Amino acid sequence: MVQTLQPRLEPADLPRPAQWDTGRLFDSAAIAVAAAVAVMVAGDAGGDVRALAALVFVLTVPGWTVLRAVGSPLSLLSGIVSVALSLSTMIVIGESTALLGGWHWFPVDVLLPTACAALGVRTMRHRRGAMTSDGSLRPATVALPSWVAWCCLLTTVLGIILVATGLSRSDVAKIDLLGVVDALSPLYWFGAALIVGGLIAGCTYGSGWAWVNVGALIVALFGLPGLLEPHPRFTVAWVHVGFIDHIADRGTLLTSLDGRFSWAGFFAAGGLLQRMAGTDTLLWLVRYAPIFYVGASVLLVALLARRTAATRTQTIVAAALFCCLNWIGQDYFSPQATGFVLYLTIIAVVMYAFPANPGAVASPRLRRWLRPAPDEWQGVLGGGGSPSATLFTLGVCYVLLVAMVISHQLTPVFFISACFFLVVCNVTRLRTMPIVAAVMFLAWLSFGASAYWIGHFDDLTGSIGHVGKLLNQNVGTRTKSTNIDRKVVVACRLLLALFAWSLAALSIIRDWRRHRTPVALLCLFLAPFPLLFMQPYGGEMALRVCLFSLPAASILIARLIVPTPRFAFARLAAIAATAGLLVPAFATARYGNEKFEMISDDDLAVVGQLYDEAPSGSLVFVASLQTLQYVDRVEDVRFRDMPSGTPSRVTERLDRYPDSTHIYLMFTETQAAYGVVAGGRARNWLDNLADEFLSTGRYVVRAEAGHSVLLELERG
Amino acid sequence: MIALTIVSRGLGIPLTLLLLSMLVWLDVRRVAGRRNPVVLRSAAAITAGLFVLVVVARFVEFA
Repeated sequence: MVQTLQPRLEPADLPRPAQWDTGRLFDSAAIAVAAAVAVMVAGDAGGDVRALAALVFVLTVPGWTVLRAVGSPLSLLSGIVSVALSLSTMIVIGESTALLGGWHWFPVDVLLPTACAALGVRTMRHRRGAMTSDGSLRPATVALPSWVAWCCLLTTVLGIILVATGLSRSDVAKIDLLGVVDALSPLYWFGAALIVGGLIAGCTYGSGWAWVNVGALIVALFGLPGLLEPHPRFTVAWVHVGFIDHIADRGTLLTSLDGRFSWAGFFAAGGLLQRMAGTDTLLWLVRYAPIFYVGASVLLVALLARRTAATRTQTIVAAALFCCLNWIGQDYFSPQATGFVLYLTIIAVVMYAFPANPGAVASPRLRRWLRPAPDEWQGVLGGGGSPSATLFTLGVCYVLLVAMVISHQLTPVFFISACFFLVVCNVTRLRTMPIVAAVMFLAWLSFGASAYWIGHFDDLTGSIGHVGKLLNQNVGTRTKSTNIDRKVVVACRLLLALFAWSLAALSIIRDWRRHRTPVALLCLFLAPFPLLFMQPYGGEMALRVCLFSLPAASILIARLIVPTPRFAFARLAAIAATAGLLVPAFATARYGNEKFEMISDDDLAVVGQLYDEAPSGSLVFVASLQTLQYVDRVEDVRFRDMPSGTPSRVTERLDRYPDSTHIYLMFTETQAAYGVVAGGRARNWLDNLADEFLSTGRYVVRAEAGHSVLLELERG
Repeated sequence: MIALTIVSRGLGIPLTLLLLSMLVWLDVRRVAGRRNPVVLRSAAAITAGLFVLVVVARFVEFA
């Protein structure tokens, strides 16, 4: 099993000092973290140190100790797999504890770190998995002009300083219909341009130091709102924090309240983490979660690129393109972001450990049609693979798959589709993997998530095959706005998606004409599209298709635009100009909703007041569900969409609730902004609505801050 | 309806576990370079058919 999960990386991919016994260093660190967490949880001590140690533990230690116990060497793939395996372990254990174990979190949070520490010590004592970092990760041996490395480092440092300074000089109050772009200081743009410039310079000379610029680009693009705004953004992320808090406190799954509790793996793992960290909430993770998720995804895109024979420079460009084209915004603190990382990890493991040769696809007709580039690599397990290595690697895939299936309703479907394409085109030997995934998905949907579909089965299946209706929900409703700024935001989104898809298609056609079709990338690129015709998913399916096709699209585009071995100046200039346009287009598309996705002080004050005074069983009616909700006391205080009609008619309907139920109306700045941005309403529409309700004489103001207000209906 | 309920609730989880075990076994043998015998593949196919029936029964019960 020594060779398991060892990627075929080029030497200069990751700059690092040679001759470090890095594997043992990480082993020792993992043992120390696990032991510290066990002691702090058992002793109920630690404060911020405990929270940090718990986070590091949950993200790395369980997977790392297991991989090292079976002798896996230090490599990029084993590193990223250890993260995915750690998350999956927490998800599976968390869900089991919530469903079957009566939420006895304490023994789990003590025994799991203890077991990891014990396993780590055993591994080190038996000197298994204790080899130094393998040769594939030694630093670059090719001669590079030293100024290239300095150029990458300097542009990164200066760029980050300019970005940070620019954000500190930006005024969030200026965020309007164009989103964050309205508010950004020119210094931010200079910083981003410097980072991209250094990236292009590094790529021009094929330097691995360009990875530093990619890292800076991730921070500049995906840390932007975290650095700029006063509070963690996006109301849905706050809802997830509320769900996690509920599970951490009470250990129950409120499947009748929200469908997401039927796929509660992520929330249950969060509950375990919250208890392990000893904090009141996991809100501290929300602000910079996108950097983690995008960073992990970028590494996986790089692994997939190298597996599909991309050069070093093409790999770096693919990673940078993935960042600049990923405007979809599904990388916030959420089950789907975790699911996406698990999806990419399983695909990477399948392609590294169980490859087949698309050139030997069984059907001659398919072979003629595909014109595949031959790929006779035997994979990290070798031709046959030892039974123990095979079993272990398959086991890792299945654990990740289980975690994905119980965490998110949609990601497994994308995985089934991708895996099906890979099997049909003979990219992998794992013929039954898509069937296993389908069985797991159907079994969980039928028996684990029945609360979700019982009663509205027709809503779920009614849209299958209705192409026009699906297209309208996915695209039509998003392009209705008449405001010019809003039109710019929507146009940026559509153009970025079309840019990615058209260049990727062009890349495939070019290779197909040369009889060198990259079949694996073709499969991963096409696999998400059939889902467009199945279910609108609240009008978001097109976004998900865009996201899941993006890794392959980024690699395909990089193969198209980055020549081997060197850039011609004209092409370099074209790439630089495109990169110069991509960053502002990304910021416009990605943060175009920021006016209603950021959280204001006023909203927080009103919601805080609501939770301070609302008794159990209270109902809160809102003009739009695009607001802070379920951030606390999830079971006690419920939120509802306000009935339609005039204030007096609405009040009549609210009066029908039993007198013992406290009824609140909450109008927040987030709701007001949503109405303005997405609904094209007048800027003071919600103020007017609140005044109309107050004029009925039936409501009293319970809290007021800025334009946010909380009213309570006076009963009897 | 009673029969459907018995089938979907009684057989669902055991059949799922059985089918998953068979599928994993097939994959392990295959990637280890061994050919799966027809009997094994047929048994997996029959179990898969039964699983589909159970899932359909489950949906029919509540849809």
